[in-house]
Amino acid sequence: MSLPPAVGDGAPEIELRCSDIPQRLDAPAWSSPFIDIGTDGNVLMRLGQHTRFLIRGGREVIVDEGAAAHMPDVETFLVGAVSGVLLHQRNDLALHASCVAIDDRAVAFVGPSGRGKSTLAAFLAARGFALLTDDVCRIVFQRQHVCVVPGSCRLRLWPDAARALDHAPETLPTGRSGHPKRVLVLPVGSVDPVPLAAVIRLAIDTRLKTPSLSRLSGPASVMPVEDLLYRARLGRRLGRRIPLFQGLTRLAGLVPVFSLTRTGDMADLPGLVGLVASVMTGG
Amino acid sequence: MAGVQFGWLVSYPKSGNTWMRMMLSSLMSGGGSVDINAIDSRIGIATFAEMDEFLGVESCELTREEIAIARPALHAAIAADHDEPLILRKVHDRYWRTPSGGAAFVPDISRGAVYLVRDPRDIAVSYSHHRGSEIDRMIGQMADDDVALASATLRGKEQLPQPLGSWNGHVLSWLDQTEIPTLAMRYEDMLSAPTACLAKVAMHLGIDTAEAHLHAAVVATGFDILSIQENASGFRERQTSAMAAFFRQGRSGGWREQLSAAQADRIVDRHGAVMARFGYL
Amino acid sequence: MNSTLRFELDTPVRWHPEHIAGEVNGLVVVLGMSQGKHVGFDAMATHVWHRLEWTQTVSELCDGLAKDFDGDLVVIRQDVIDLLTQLQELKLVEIGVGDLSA
Repeated sequence: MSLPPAVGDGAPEIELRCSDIPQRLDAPAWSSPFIDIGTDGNVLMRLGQHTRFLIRGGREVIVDEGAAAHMPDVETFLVGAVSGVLLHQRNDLALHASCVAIDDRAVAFVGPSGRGKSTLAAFLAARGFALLTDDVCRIVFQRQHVCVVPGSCRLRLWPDAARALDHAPETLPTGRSGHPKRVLVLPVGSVDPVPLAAVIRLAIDTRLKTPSLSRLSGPASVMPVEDLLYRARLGRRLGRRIPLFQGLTRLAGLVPVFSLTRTGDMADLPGLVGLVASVMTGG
Repeated sequence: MAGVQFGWLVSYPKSGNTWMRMMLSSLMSGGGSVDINAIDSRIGIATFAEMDEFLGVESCELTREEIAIARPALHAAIAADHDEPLILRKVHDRYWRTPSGGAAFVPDISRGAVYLVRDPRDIAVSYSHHRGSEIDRMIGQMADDDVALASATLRGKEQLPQPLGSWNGHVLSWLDQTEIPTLAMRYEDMLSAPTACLAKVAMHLGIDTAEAHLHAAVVATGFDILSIQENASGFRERQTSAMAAFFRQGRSGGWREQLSAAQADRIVDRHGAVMARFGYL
Repeated sequence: MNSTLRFELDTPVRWHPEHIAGEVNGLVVVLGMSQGKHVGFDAMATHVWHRLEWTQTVSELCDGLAKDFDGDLVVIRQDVIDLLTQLQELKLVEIGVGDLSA
């Protein structure tokens, strides 16, 4: 199984094992068809028939015995949703972002599902940028910089996006069995945290003929917070509302935030390279 | 907040949904002006992002069936998290049930639905302008029991898949169910008597109104005003291959100039019973 | 918009105790813990917010702002009342706390 570099700071800090897990938690504090949050902050995730995870204390991930036969599914969720929960439990700040880097500077593409974060990151990764992470983007404040900690280099792509990136979808592995999305695994772009040069919020406006980029400023640059944070509500239910707010406002004070509005047509991808580069050099 | 309920604003596409939402949005702000481009975020369609946030799942990793099964839970979670008593939502789905039999639009948390009906011949013409597609193809799509919005390979951009089905099946699915009180309203009546129609909708959804606000809301969202806004700022809902202004097809009966006799007959053959029920024949 | 005077000018006002505030590019953004809402302020509201660090009466607040902006006290009072009314609804300020030394 190809796991990303440890979510922690180097030394293995996450224990991963297989064991029997119950279907649900007793008397959870909050519950949905897919997730139970215990009063102790433990999280049980249910994804598909076979795949269950119990995530405890930001240190322990238990995969249900029955899931062992479906490793691609397990891997897909481990590097995505499970790592997001771990980061919340560890009091880390995670953006809902895919992130690439060039010349030791990172740019994070944030936005809700469906805005094209993974597609854009994959496109840039094929054009000289290094991929740092897909979907879950951990942020640390260290050595006078806001930095991105490298995460998963497995990009989840819809078939049409894969084609737009010159990959025949059927040549790529599927992530989750029975699901059309494909996995593009790229080399790890960095082992060490990379300073974050810009946050780019993605939007789609089908009226546009060409993509448009603008600088955002003030509180509006980070609102609504759900558009930037990874699973803000989940974090809130794990008692993290304040540190997430403080982390986000701190980040926005140090790193420029932009809005990049795309046309919704993947033919606009080539034009984006120049726009992103201008953001990186503009600083 | 407890006791939150949905007001579903339902229609087959191109049947006046946007206009109705704008009127209601204006009404609820006392008859003020409405930003054309903000309406979808104020009264919108269910999205993957909402499923991510409210159900705590990577919804774009779910199969179409799993998404469908989770729709009732999504609606319940949205209601539980809302801080006002009424949530207005745009719906293009036909009335459907999950594989386990539960209604997707949960009756217990639904105050009511408003179902907008429009002459399908005008829809065929209007829709094809909206998407720049052939009228014949649209007539075929309106007759197709299996069609769904935003569900081609699940790549619906941001919206969750919405089962649509044929036009007449769509109408009947909402009007024949008895779980959610549904007010049927003809788009053509909205055109000829907008204030009275808006008043009926407000009463059905339990929205407190003043006479003056009703009038103001109608004026603020009249086609003249909206056309001016659209020309000035564009209108985000228009898709890239549109050939005409979104509101150009606002009138009724325009199909007589645009459809051939054969095309009109095809529509009547397929949907005639429901058309007669609403006085279109 | 003119709102009727919902509180007297000599009523004390202060930050709501359950809030967290931050700044982005010099503008304040507040997380009100009571309703869980994030609210971003423009430059004027930011200025007013900073002044509210110290519990004071509405009248004292307005006097201070009139000096800061060299402005018309009547206009400032109306603007401040409008703003405070909104902030009170969002539970970001408490009006009428009763004890100026709090």
